[in-house]
Amino acid sequence: MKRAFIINKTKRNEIMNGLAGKILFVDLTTGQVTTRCTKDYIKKYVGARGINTKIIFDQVNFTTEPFGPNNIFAIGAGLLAGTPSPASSRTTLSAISPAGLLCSANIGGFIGAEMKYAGFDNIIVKGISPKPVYLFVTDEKVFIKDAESLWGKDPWVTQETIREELKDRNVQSMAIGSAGENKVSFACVVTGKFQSSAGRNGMGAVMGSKNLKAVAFRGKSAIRVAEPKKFLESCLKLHQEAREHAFFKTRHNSVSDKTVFIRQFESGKLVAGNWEDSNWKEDGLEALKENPERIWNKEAIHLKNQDENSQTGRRPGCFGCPFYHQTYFNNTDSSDIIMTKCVQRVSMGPTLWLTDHRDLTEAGHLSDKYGLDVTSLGNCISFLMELYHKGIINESDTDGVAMKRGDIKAIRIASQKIANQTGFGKWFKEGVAGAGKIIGKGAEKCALHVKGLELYPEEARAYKSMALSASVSKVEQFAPLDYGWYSNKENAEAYALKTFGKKEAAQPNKYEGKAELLSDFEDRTCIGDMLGLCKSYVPWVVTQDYAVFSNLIYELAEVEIYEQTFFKAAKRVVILERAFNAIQGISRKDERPPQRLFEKPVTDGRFKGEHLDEDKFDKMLSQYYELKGCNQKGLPTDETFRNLGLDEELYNFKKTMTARDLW
Amino acid sequence: MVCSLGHENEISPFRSRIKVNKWEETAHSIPVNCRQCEDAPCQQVCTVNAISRDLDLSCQMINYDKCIGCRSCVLVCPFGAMAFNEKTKKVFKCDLCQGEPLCVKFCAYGTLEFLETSEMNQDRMTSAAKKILMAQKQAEKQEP
Repeated sequence: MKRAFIINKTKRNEIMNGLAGKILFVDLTTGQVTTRCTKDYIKKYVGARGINTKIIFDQVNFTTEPFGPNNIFAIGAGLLAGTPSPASSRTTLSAISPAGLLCSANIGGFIGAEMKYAGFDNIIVKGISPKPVYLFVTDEKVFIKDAESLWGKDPWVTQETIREELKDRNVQSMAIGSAGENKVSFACVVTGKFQSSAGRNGMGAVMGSKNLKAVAFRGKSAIRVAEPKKFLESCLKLHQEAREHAFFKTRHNSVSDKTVFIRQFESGKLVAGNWEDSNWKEDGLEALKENPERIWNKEAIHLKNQDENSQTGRRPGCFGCPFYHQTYFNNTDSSDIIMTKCVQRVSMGPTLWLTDHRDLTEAGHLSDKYGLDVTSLGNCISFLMELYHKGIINESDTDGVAMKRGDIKAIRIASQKIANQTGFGKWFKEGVAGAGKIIGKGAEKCALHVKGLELYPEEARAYKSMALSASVSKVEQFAPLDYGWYSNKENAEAYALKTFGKKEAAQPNKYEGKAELLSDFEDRTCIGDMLGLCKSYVPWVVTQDYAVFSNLIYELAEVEIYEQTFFKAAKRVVILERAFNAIQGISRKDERPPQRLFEKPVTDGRFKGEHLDEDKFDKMLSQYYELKGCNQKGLPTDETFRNLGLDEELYNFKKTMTARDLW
Repeated sequence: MVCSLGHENEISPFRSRIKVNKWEETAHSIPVNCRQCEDAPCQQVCTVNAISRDLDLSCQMINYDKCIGCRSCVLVCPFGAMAFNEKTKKVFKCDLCQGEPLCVKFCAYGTLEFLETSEMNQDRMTSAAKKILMAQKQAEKQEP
């Protein structure tokens, strides 16, 4: 198998404190590798998602096929990744998604840190390998290694096999499953023993299209620090403050699977089936919130020594995490242990009419096993269940499998067929949007997506900020302000009044203030992505203040990046994403939730009766576009480009838009 | 991370004096560091007498003026806690950070503790005694 080495060593004066210093470019078609200095990008794009987006925008043409050799698959570690800063675990994967949009997904675990220790801040992969391969990146060298024997294996087995082959248990890697190999549009990338996945936007499919099964890292180098003693003290202080935060004390309850459904019911966010009408009690869904202690302590689904009072409980967490709030479960179809997260239970629980927690654990795990995004998978299977329930399809359409509500056997088979692209699984090659078109007979109306991305199952008819976010953003479709309103109205409204000048910004079902809320939150989320920080820490739960990280970065790297610089960089990234997607033909007409959310009201819970109003939604969208510096079609204006120092990008944007007649 | 940062002003878990051994398949993580053995094999094998005991700290210390980087101590440590630093060409191990270990400060879970030797077995002894007490009480209840 071809091997590739880095020959040119980075010059001394190019190494920057806090960074690995280099961006690696790999061409899988030719096996060629080159490097560039990371320092050139920091001031304008900070890191990770910022650098990924800039490079893709510059180098990828609008005519590029997502599964073609010219698409770029970018991995970015982030400025604070690999340091003792709290929550420094996140890595961003970016590419042109199978739906044709410039977007990213986020992954945790230990990948980003190991990548920086191996000598690289970002990795840019182009081309298509003639045979299945995996990349092994270690100490400023990269190897393109044969992965034919790994093809078809699940992501965890792949990672373990790589460790055995390289004879090093400390290798950290991320891998695709059979779904990515078959280029299913919502295939994901998994790291650890299903510890974390880069779920949304089909990054796994892009890897699969390059015949890239996995990327492995092993780093023995160091990250240099400008002021070690001060930096260490600052990091320790932040870690200690994190332990004093209410979230640390209640972490095993607040985000663990034990109480996620109680919160879903109380907040009115629960979605039944495929956003269908439901009386929660009559349909049996209320079983989900009953007696979580009894369910939680059932041995079959709970690993021993893992209760919240145990100081030595075997709870995992990602790199640098001060919270360690993940959970292990016994895998119900083997003697294995697995990790599933609350998002998996929400996506594959009430949406599939499942109420037995054992079934929920298994259903959530299916997505990881096959390397499929759990949110999209849940959406696709609930779509099938709705069609079956309405008689639009029957068993003969789905290879003899009755897609009955709450049937775990049907869910198992559907997941496998979708991942392996066999039988009726082939309908979902292009997600639920594709399936709707293929099936026809009114199925299109049941396919709930925006711009090809399946909806996240939290009640966007009630939570107006979610409706807006689903329409305009790529992922992370909620803001913590209105999310937390139901449990602490006074605090939330006071914060909204102080920050946005109107308390309605915190009230979930009001349109007022939502454009400001989302615009601000989108930028803050982007900053977190560029720094490589976990959003559970900032900006969701512990703090929204990036000034403290500004100080940290100065102590780490002696670079002055003020909070305003972070925000400007974030705005650049968001505008470049919008600009690329505009060139792909996306505009206002595409940025709206499915019609169902306008026509059918919520049927239960605290927001019963809520639905989206066309005029109010339009007004909210217009406000958002104005805040983002876009015109009323959603296209960034000339002034916005110039204010962000994107003159060259403006020129290219206008040239292409004119050539494509997209104005 | 913090160990290497505190000792060498750089972040490099590979050069940490305490290393976590993980078994993801069974959800176990075991940190391993120097046990500061009283009758230390590393001290015995060192041909230049570079390793000696600091009695106040109760720590086996390396004298870097004497260390020749022969790595005999790396070979002989039964815990694998002695390692070789490719940069400095000398060996390194836990030195207890002058009595205030950084790793203990940072560990949120309390997995790492820095205790007097006489306190090491106290918690476990109390926990075992409690179990015996519970069993005794149970037996007393059942006596006719």
